[in-house]
Amino acid sequence: MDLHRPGRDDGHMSEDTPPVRLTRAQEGRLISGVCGGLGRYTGIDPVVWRVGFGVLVLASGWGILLYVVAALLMPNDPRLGAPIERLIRRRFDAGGVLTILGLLLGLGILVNLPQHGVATSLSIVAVLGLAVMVAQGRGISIGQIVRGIPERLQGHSAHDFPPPPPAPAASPAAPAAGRPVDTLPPGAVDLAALGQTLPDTYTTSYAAEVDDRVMDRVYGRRRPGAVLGKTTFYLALLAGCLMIPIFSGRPNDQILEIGASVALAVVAGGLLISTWYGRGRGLVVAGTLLSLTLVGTSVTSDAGLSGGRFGEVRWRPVDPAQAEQTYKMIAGDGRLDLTDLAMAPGQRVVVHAEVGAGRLRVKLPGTAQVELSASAGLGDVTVDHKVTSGPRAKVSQTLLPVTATPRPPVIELHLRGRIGDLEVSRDE
Amino acid sequence: MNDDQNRSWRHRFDPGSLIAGLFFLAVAVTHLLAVFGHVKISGTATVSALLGGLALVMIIRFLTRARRRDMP
Repeated sequence: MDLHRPGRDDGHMSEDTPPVRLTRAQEGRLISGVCGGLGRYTGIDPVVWRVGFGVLVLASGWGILLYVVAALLMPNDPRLGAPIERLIRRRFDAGGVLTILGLLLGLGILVNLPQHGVATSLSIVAVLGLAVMVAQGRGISIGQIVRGIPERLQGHSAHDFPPPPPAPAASPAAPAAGRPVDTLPPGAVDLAALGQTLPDTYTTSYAAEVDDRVMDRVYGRRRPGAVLGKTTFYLALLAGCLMIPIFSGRPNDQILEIGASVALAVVAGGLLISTWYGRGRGLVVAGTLLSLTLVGTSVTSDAGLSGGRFGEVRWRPVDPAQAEQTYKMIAGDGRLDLTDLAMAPGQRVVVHAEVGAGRLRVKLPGTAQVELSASAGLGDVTVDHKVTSGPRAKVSQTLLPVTATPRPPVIELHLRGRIGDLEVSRDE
Repeated sequence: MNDDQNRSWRHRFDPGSLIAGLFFLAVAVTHLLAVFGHVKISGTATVSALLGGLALVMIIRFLTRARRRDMP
């Protein structure tokens, strides 16, 4: 029995059919046979998969994680199972493995967007978009896969999926049992026979939908909504990507906002068309996601943290001219070390630092006089181990030099925090 | 070839799609104007407006869901 045959797994398997497994290739492998296995399953040349993984590795390193996860999820021998399957005692069919990889890819986009900017993230989006387009082109239903994500992530085998509604067994003119053929006029549908093929467990709405699909299959009709939805989606993707070269001179967050706005306008156009013609399947979901993306960028801009950084960030300026800037951090743990600042006697330097969520620690030279102005929306302000508790904690004071100096340099320090703590300490 | 095979879908006017389309178009245009500096929008106000608008769109789409069943 060939358990790793190439082909499509649409989640509709009969009870006698084993789930389609996605296995690593035994022959022609370069590393572990992941790309070979994906190529054999999807019918796409493994070179294309290797290029895709290469782009992801070069773009953000996310491709390495994806490759390792794929290697752990794809067994060498379908009878033995993959390492992860043996560990958690569950089995993933081909669709399940691809779903997990797709979700990881989506997570990679979200993680890379703030860290590496729009251009890097869009390269990952491009790979994801190409994968979706190829899948759609090969007749794989993305919507069906999305609906089955919870079951697939639980590692259910294809046997656990509900059986598909049976297709009409015969031509439109097929007669019901016990009825002569000539009682139906040519081209008519025997609804009694058609109804007998549907199980009783379907709810009314689902049965109606299934009935529509059966009728579509019988008459070979294609619903106009499917075309409109797909066309609008691809046009929105294209329009959004076109904004990158057009507005390449602008900051990354503005390019993201423009691209998302244009894509949203295209989605809105598709919805307006679907008011009178066709049906824009999935366009409301796409519009909602794009709107939320836009709001996210607006909130970031409104917080004054546009261009801010995430995670653990350290700044250690040396040149006073370069130190005079606004250090922005959206979320994470930031450290601003001003102890190496080469300041002349009497020189004045103005430094701004802002944090959205997290902690910001500032270390000051003991030889400088510091005019401090700090405010924390929801958090504490700590100056030389003296804590001013929030919410809306404000500290405004002058810190004299630790060692007496005739004309000490002056640091005018403005700190602003929204959710998190601000800490200021002197170099001993 | 009989008449059923030639018959196209009869699509009904769907107010839910109209409202959703106009709403998303308004969101897109507002953000574009904000990016190019023609209007100034507040982040918190945008969140409130968007969530309220999305809720309204979903309610209207729910109430008019029957219109989205194409009739053969």
